[in-house]
Amino acid sequence: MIFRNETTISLRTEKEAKTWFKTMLFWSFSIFFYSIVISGRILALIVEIKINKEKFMREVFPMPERQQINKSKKRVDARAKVTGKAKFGADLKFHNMLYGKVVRSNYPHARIKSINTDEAEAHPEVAVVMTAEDIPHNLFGVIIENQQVLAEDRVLYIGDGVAMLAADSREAAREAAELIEVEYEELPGVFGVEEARRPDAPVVMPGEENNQVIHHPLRKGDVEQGMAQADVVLERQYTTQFVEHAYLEPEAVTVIPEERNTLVTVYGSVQNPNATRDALATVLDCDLSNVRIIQDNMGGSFGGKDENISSMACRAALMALQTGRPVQLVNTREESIIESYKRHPYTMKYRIGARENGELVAMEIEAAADSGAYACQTPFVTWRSVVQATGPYEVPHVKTDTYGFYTNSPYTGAMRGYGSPPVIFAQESMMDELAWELGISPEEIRRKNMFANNSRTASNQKLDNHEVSLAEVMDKALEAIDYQEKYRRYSQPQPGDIKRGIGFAISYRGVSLGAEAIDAAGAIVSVQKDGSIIVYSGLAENGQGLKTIFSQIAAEELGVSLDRITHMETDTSISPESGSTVASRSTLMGGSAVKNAAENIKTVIKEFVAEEYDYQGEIVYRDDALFTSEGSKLVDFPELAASAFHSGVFLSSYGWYKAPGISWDEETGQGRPYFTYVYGCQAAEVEVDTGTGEVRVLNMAAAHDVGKAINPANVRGQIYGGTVMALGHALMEDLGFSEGYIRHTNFDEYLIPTIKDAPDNVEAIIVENPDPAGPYGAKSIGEPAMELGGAAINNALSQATGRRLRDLPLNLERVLLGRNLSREG
Amino acid sequence: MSKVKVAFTLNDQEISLLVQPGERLLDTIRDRLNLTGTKEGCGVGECGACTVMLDGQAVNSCLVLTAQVDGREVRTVEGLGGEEEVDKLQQAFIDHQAVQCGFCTPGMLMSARALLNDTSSPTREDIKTALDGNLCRCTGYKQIVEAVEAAAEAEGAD
Amino acid sequence: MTEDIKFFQTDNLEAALELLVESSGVIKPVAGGTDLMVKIREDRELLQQFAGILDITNISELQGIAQEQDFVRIGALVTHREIIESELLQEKYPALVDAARAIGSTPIRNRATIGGNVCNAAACADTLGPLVAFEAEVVLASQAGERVVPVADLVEEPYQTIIRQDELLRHFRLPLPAEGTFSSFQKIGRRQAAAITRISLVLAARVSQGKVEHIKIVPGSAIPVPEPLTALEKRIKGQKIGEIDSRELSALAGEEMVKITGERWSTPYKKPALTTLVRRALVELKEVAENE
Repeated sequence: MIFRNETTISLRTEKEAKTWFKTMLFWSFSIFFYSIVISGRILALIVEIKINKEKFMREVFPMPERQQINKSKKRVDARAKVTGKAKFGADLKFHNMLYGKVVRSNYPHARIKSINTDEAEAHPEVAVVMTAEDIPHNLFGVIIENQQVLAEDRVLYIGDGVAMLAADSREAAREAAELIEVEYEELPGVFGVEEARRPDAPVVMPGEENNQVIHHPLRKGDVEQGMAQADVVLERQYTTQFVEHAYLEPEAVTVIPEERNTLVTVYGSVQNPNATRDALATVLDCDLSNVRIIQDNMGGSFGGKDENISSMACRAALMALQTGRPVQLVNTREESIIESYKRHPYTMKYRIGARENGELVAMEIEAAADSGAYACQTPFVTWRSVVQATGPYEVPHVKTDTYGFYTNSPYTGAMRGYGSPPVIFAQESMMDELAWELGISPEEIRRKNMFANNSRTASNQKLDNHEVSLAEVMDKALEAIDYQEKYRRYSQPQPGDIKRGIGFAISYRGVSLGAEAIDAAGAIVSVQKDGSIIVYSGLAENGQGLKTIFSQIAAEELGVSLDRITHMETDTSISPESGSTVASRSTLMGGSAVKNAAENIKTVIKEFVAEEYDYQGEIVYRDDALFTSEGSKLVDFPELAASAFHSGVFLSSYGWYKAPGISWDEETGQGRPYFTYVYGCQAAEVEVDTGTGEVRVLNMAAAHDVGKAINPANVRGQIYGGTVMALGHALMEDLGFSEGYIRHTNFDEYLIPTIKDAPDNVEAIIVENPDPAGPYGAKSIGEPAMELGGAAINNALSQATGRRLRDLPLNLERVLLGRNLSREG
Repeated sequence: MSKVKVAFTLNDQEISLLVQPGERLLDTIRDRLNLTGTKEGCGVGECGACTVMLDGQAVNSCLVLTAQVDGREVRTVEGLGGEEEVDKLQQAFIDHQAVQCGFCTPGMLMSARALLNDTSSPTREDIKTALDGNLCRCTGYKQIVEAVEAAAEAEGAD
Repeated sequence: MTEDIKFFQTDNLEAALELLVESSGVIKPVAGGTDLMVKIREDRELLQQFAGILDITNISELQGIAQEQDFVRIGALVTHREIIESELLQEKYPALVDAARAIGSTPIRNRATIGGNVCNAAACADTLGPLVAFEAEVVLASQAGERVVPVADLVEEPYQTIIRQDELLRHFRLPLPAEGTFSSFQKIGRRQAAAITRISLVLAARVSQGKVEHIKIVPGSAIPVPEPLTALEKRIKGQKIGEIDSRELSALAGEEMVKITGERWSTPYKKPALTTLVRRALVELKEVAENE
């Protein structure tokens, strides 16, 4: 079967996107039914979960003494990173290299009347100047192909590039860029979703009829009938802000023209090498095989080095091919913040109906995301919102409508959590509001409604193929932070200005891509004749620790020590295309692929051992050697590798893993959007100064069911990082937007949490209910760790002050005055 | 042309260079001396990725004119540990999973090293103050604090 | 960067002052460089306006903290780190030490100097408030000799001081506070470290025989240039400490601020926030006075 990754599919309109969703649907159903047939045995075992969890665990996951898995192994890249030897995108230098610079729009929306590049071209050190006129294929995009490499006719946001050049030195490039004169005719802009959806709003995207990027409806039951049954109906509006990824490393790419056999080779901070390769092949109008992307160390990404890096790579490639010289583009922090895409701001209207006892009966939600100037990943980001907007609760009647709209603000795309942090902020704030309204505790209302095994989601998916561990994560997080005692104490009147509060939030989250795209990943495991092992993976190390996890899996399977493994950087000409390193799918998808490759090798070894060592039984791989099932040593691993090599036995393999089936009805939002879910609970204890509006998060507890932690220290690292990123989102991050302009373009004004803002303690609790779908039962943690903190902190703040805020960030002004202040009034 | 002659000690080696009057120490280190362990994250002294030690104190090399370091001592991440070895602080960062993407790591190490050279048994608050100019977006800082504490203890035991 | 500009370095004050006069263009003195380097980055043209940069960090007359007869001398080159670590300043001027602690981050405090903070004269410069509250003076040196100016008169408007092109800020003179002087510094930022001051407050006071004998209240980031809230001070001075109504008096602080600045977009926040800070400073003053 031919595998088509989502990144190779480019659609120009919503209609095409919908057709594509339908195709997806067909495939998903086929795969779904197929998987039902073949997984009868697993299903039978799943039934046993309720009967005997331990027996089930033993049978599905026979657990010999693991040497690598569930161990806090040191990161394989740590040594290079603490010695300064690890190379990042901007650290590379090539002979005869040019330095690129991009001239960007001065306006959120304007017509380009003229571009005069004469003076820049005359600059003695300038090798090339280009504008959109020089780019025959100027559009690219992962889902809908409408992002401009350079603006052609109109600039659609403040960060749109209008011209670019490359020169012998950075200084010359900067100087020459200032010599380019662009004449604009400023046009009225569209800002915010309310403006964008008005029938008379100017249309942002050329060729579209209106500003709607996407609409995902979901219908379950009859929401009005449900509301009629409710004793209480609560209606609230919440909003969230644009958020910058704020990876510490600004974007960097270097493109080498016609290096070896390819048209271009790209080095750099590329989160999704295959997506960038697709963009280059489109813009350069060449075969995928002619574009080679080699990833450098990534100084953080969090979803943020995708389309903007593709855009930079296209620009550098065009200039490199024009000049025949390597071209490097490195953003300053200001350029990064002005041009790069952000997290979507959401406006969310919730209407919830509940019975007096707290039982939810109906939920109606309208969520609108600001897509900014381009479609980018809005169709998928908002799709994830659909599934998570109702929270992990059983609700009989649901109606949700989730939209994305074009505006003249910076475009928005993937960021850790994808569409979930905004809707969880709203949903979980709303649950506390409802509890307050009904006079019951936040804990009680959740326990009354939350999913358990065999619950049905808003999409009517029955959660019956994995352990639904909401009660477990909630119990553990609340216990760790001493929630009940603190909730009781902080509910009493607190004298003085300084008040404390405690709050929490829970979530369920679909693992991997879900119905966004076909979901599969690959890897190569290659045993060398000295017993050392090279691993190539199609999914990429973005700093999260993927190389370490994959190395652990390969080492575990082949019973070797970790230092035998060398995990290469992703290279699109070698590594199997695996879709994007997104959706917290690395461990489950890529890890399974590595495991599969190692298993293939073991099949070959088994045959070889039978012949060469006359042993037919089960082979145990451990301590850099092969043993019989009785424990006698057969051969050391290096010796085996050598003897296999000299016997002409091939010990390398591709591994491949395709996710279990899914389904989705785009008209009703019903189906099986994800093949499995993770569950999490985060609690926060805050201290608020009601005299100044300052908020400090004292403690957090975060319990996450990760299935199985391949590397517990790494999992904890994801949790600590995720909670602090959420803290920034909740309390301080603010780009200072005004009508499409960004005021906070560097870290002196765009504030992210410092070491002193991090809570005094974050208790990371790893909950393990191995999932049949993942390697050793492992699922995901990267995004789950980030999606809950905002709501938890807001709930804690509300308990402290007795006043509910519904807009992020919860800055000094909002906390003190209940409203935001802005320069513009 | 009015280049400035500067002589200083970099990672225990004597360096003599001609630099531009407005040249940043960060650029001298990265571009002229090819020591790329020191990173640029913001250029305005807010992120700390470019932190180096100047006469033993942590400074933002993006805010220092190279011409000003004449006669002084500069240490970068490449100057920690020996040729083959890593020092106890670097080892603690490895052991405590204090490294994720690694971009802030060199700057973190230099700030922490400056602290440990001054204070043999820093409190947790001392550590947080010493690292308050080093932003990290990955780790949530916790494992970094733990690593510095462990390094302080290990060095104190010597 | 530009190639026409010259770089000068000297350890001799006379030579430095001479250079400021003799040079054919503007010579920009630089010490820690933490403000200048950011400005140059934001506006490359700025560098073109200078004929040269003068590194003053090696001039010994501009260094050091020392007690002299009735004042403490703080050299212009004293870094925020040195202020924090100075036992003398901790004892005499705790509000100044706390302000230095609240500035920037460790690497910034290691480089940035008190002279630089004052010469840059941002409305949010954290050391200006304490210096004004402690009635400090600056000694400005030039070839024509020295002149002494109260810090309160130094700043004309944000980022603009009365220091002439031919002058160098040599040192600060802080009168020794009378026995029993209390001082406090409070700051609100948008985060816990490396935050620009949203609003701050310095209070320096002395209570003698149950009465407020001396009081200085100087807000930061609230009014364009650092000056005391004199109307409020007048209300408090001479009052019996036990009779001070901190709630009522602090409300006057907010009003006095608005009188100076007019209503701005940020006033709805800054007014109550300043009120809070003044109230807390007065409450603390009372507590300290009553415990003595």
